[in-house]
Amino acid sequence: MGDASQITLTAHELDQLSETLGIGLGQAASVFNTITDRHVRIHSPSVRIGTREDLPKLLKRLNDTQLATVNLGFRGDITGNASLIFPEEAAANLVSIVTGVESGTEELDSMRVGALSEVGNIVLNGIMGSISNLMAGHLTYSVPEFGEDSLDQMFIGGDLQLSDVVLVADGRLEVEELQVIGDIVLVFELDSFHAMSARLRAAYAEG
Amino acid sequence: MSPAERASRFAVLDQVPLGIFVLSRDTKIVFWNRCFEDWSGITAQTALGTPLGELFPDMLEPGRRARMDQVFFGGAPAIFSSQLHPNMLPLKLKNGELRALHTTVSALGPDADGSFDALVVVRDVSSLATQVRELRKAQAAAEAANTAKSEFLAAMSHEIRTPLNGVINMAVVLSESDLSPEQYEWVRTISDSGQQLLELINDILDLTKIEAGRVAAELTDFDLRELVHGIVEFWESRLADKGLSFSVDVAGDVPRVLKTDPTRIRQILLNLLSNADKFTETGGVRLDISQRPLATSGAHEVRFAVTDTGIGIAPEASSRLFAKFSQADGSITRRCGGTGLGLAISKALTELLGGEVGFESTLGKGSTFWFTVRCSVGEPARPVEAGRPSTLGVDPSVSTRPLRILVAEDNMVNQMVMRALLSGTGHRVDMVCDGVEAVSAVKKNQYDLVLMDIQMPEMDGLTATRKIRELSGDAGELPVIAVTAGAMKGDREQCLEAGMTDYLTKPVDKNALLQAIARSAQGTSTDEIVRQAG
Repeated sequence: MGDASQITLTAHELDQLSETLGIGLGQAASVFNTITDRHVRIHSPSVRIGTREDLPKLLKRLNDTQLATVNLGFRGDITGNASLIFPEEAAANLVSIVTGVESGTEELDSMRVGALSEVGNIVLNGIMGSISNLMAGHLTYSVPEFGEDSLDQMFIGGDLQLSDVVLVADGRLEVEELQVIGDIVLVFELDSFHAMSARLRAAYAEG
Repeated sequence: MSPAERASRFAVLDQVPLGIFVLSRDTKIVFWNRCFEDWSGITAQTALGTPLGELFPDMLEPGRRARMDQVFFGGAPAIFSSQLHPNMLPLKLKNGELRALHTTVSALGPDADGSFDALVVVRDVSSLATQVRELRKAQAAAEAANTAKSEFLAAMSHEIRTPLNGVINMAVVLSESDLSPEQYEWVRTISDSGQQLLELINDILDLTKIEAGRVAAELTDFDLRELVHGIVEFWESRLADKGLSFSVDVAGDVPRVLKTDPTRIRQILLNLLSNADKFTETGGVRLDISQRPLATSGAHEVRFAVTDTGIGIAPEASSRLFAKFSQADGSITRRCGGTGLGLAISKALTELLGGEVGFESTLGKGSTFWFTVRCSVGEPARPVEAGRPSTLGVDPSVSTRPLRILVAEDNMVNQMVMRALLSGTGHRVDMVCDGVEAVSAVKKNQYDLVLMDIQMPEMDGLTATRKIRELSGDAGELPVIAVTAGAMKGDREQCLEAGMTDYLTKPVDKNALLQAIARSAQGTSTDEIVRQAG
């Protein structure tokens, strides 16, 4: 078992990780461009790192808020869970942007779950595709799940351990002048995180 | 894997109520389940071996094809919602409407040659979308009905209080005139009936507000012993008038200062003690207060129990005791009055304070009504309470000099009431009928204070007050006391925000009116008194 205290990344490694996530988000933005027929940009995120216990601190702005999330589990060379989290209001704005339906209408409300699930799927697939390329190995995935809950309910139970490593990135999705902010949360089992860090270091050395 | 092997592998999926088909890497259909046959109208026999693009060309348009290709290489599942892809799988319901679909494409494999198939699972969410729409409509309708109910109540409260003001106060004025004993009894009956009607309106409004969730506990630190002292002062003499004893026992371990809502506790105790008074002819009433600590650090459950030696409650009446408009003994209520809402309100308020309410009773011997309140220990030397208008803040040593008072009131009966209430006080009263006349009068003459009705034609009291506040010099600083039939939450705050310095509700109580006038003469208002006490 790896050492939970050794979960730091150097500044260069963090940059490399941000770039990896950024590549994935760029691919996601291309997919959005074709779906929405509008110019979509997703900014390369800054990445913060901690353990599962640190989540309330890392996602402070989301405490005491009802959240919409899409979750994707993955297993293989690395094991963990990827989530895209939006506060409810941001989720409603995002659905309005991608569907073109006015915010606050009944029609939008019934579209919400399906549209958000797909948006989350596109973003997370972009990211996981990029990470999977970095690892140069094969991952298997769970069926993506949509959920609505508060932060403290979202990450309890299941197979999660307190020592699991958490990467939090702010993803800013811009459609023309409109902006929606969502949080990308990647949870890795500790050994998986060490494997990914090693791969990052190797990729940086090669690069 | 041969086609037959594939078909055998997936056969169980024919029993699943989801549309399922499987594509090989070249997008040819290798499995097509029974549910999807029903939805699409395309048999498995027709579908098997056919490229998907020949049956549903939109599903393989370039953007979607690129996402599906990732699945064929073992990538993460892809989701397609019909909200973003309405024509991808144009399957229709029996009524001809397009099905709302949620489609997931996942990798199956790898096979021996390392290739992946794509498992396509299609979920029909049409009924879910309809249910969400219906729920939202129902929610909007419920909210509209609630708003309409509140607006109706506010209007009714105002419309009923205005004539009640006339009934109650004219009875008061009449009772102070030269009457025979028989006439005095008649007038007293008019006054008592008016008071009962007012009590009923207040109780109905209270209960409606609580049920609508418009009442919140206002947590404040207060001295429990002082609250008890106030109760003893009032009830000892009242019960003694009936020949009943009254005793209070506060357990030694009850914290002196509590943090909860003392106004609501007082209201519940008033209800329970009123009932005890009403239903007890001999013996007495006792109030016991005890506590037990709760698991949460610093939290206590304080129990208040009112015990009487009254008539008790028949078992068959027990079940409806806390229901609205229910009395255990109607004959006594007819004699002594009561709205039938006191216990229902007490129950609702207790639950608001995180507690429970209950009773024990023996017919012919007496009853104990109790309630509990969850609270924490408060901090000493804090304000006792806020906003009680009665005798607070009026310095008895200061006699109110004769004042020149402007009364703005459009209703003739209420004008008559005001003149009658203020006659004999030495104050000079000028009367105007609307806000326009009030502002004009303030500009022309020097007044010491204004008694301002709110709802008036031409210009309402709030607007008139704002205009008075814009005047320069003493006129702009004139005390303005709101005298209004509006008794809903927010009315008081609206008046104070407009610049009014004090607030009275109709029917106006003569003592409350005179005290408010005296406070204005001293240059204080109810809110200022609270700030000074703080």
